[in-house]
Amino acid sequence: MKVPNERGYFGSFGGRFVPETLMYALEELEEEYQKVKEDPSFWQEFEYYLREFAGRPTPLYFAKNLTEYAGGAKIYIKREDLLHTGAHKINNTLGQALLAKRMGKNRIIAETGAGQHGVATATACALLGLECVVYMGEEDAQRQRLNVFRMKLLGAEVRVVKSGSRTLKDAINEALRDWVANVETTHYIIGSVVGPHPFPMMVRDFQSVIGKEAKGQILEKEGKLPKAVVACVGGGSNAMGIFYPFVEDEGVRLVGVEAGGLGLETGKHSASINAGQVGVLHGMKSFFLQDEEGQILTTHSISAGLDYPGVGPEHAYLFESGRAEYVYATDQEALEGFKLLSRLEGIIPALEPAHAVLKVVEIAGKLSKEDVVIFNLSGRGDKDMETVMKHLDGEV
Amino acid sequence: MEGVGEGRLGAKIEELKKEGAKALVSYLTVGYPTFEDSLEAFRVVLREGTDILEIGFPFSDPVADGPTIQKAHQVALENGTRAKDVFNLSRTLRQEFEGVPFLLMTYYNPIFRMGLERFVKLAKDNGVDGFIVPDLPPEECLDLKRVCEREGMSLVLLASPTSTEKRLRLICQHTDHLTYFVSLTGTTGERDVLPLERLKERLALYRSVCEKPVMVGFGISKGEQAKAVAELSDGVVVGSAFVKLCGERRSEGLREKVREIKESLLSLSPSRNL
Repeated sequence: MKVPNERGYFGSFGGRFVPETLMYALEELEEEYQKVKEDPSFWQEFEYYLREFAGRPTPLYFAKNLTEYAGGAKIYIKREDLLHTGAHKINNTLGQALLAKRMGKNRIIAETGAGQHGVATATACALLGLECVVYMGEEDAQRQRLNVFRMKLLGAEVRVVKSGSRTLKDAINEALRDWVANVETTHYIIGSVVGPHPFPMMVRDFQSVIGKEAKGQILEKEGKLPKAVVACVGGGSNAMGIFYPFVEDEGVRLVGVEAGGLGLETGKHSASINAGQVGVLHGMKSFFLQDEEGQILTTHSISAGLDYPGVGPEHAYLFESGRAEYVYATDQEALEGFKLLSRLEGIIPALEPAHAVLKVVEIAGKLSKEDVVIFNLSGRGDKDMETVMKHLDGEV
Repeated sequence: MEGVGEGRLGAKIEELKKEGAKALVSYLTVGYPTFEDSLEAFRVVLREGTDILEIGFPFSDPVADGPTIQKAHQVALENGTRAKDVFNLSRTLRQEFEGVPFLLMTYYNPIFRMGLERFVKLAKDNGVDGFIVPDLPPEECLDLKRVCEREGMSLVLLASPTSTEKRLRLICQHTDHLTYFVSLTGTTGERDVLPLERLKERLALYRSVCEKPVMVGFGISKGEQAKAVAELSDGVVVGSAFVKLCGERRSEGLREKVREIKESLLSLSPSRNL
């Protein structure tokens, strides 16, 4: 079944729950996107920038040492960390910025958590000559101050958000408020597979280049499909990007790893599928961390990029239909994975995909040596050095 | 027309129409700065001639609201305001103000999470007449509307300057009794200048496709603004200006503010100008 339907629903999730002021802009965006979807010149331009500017295709690297360590299936790493700006986020921002340009919207706004999406948006805007404003929660701006500087260097204005929990959720609120006020001149580049229709679909489509490449590469290298594809999930754009081309390959397990923070029992985490309930926020119906009266809860994760109380509606759909499974890793497990990948493979991961490392090892360990597992390494760890130093100082 | 004339909201609309009067729709957030203060402020705006009352249900993520009401929601939640407080307040006020329609203004998630059926019934049992849900556009409103219809409750939809003719028709088809027209593209909150020319144009478009009365809100904080907007519409919604005074515990200031707005609306009333 092809999702979403014409109303933007993935099964019972998704939709378009926004103030009326934004409805026309979303209709217009959807219409414009449907137009470019059929326009080869748009995709040629998009692919040109992905290749020449962002550095695609990224390698699918056979992680020999990690494979030996796990003692089972061969582990391949999809190296999104090697992309320009250091993460998969650039795939989406290039696509949306090109679309905005076609729509004649020369002002871009974005929200950012870890700062990766903000940097990727600022980069695409610099490249295409668009004005750029990035909203970032005060807490995130502090823990990711290098990215704040990078965005400014790229010509973006960074607006620090001091309302609510001062993290990604509040940055999205503030970006939505800006969009409501400036909708006629502005395009909102949402950074994940979240938000009102058509964003979850559109971001998935732009990010699915990850999975398309990985599928072609694994067939070329191994002549078979993987037993499992593993990725971290906050809002879920890197996971959706690598899962999507495998959804119809039923033998491929799709495993998303949420941020378990200090442990689900502490309430200090960001595992919305594992511990949330269905709700409506930021334009979509999906799983959210909330109390019994629908108030959204404060989240916690060691990684700013996963520190979000919701998840994209297509993940909710894949979870509910049983097609994908969602587990979680705690801050501590993420740090273990962070160290492990650095030592064994010489690859320092971002804290977000570091959440998935131990899970990959576990899954591979239970499979035979003939099998193959793919791990989406969505970004590199440079941005996280200060955070990790605080936690591992003396240990390293 | 379905529903018109039924219940307090329908009756009030008929009454306003008969008198040719412009409506004052007043908004306050429950629990800001405290429950008791907000209850008293609700009484003030009701005593001073509020025609339709909007009871603000505090929510953690009020995306359609500007800084004043955001703060009110945040403080109310920090004070421990819960759904039961909102319903207690509406029940208390209902005993004191029999004829005024109460609309609960809430984001969709509290309704959705507590269960549509349960939430609507709770509201009804506590004297509420209907709902305004700023993040529920007509395309997504059908589930709630079905429950409201069953319980004899109203659902008032919002329109905006960016609503196309097609969208205005859709809104008109689904909204009960009246339409809440947002005066500008933006969030709630006081503005020095309102885009009146554009509003005039958009309201003319609305009138050409919809007969239901239209109340205009967002940005209105002064008597002269209320008058200018009411000349184009059937009434005004005032929120942030009241919320701000309520937050400062300026009961007398709030009373004066409501009077200022009410006076400016009465000055347009035909009975006043005889």
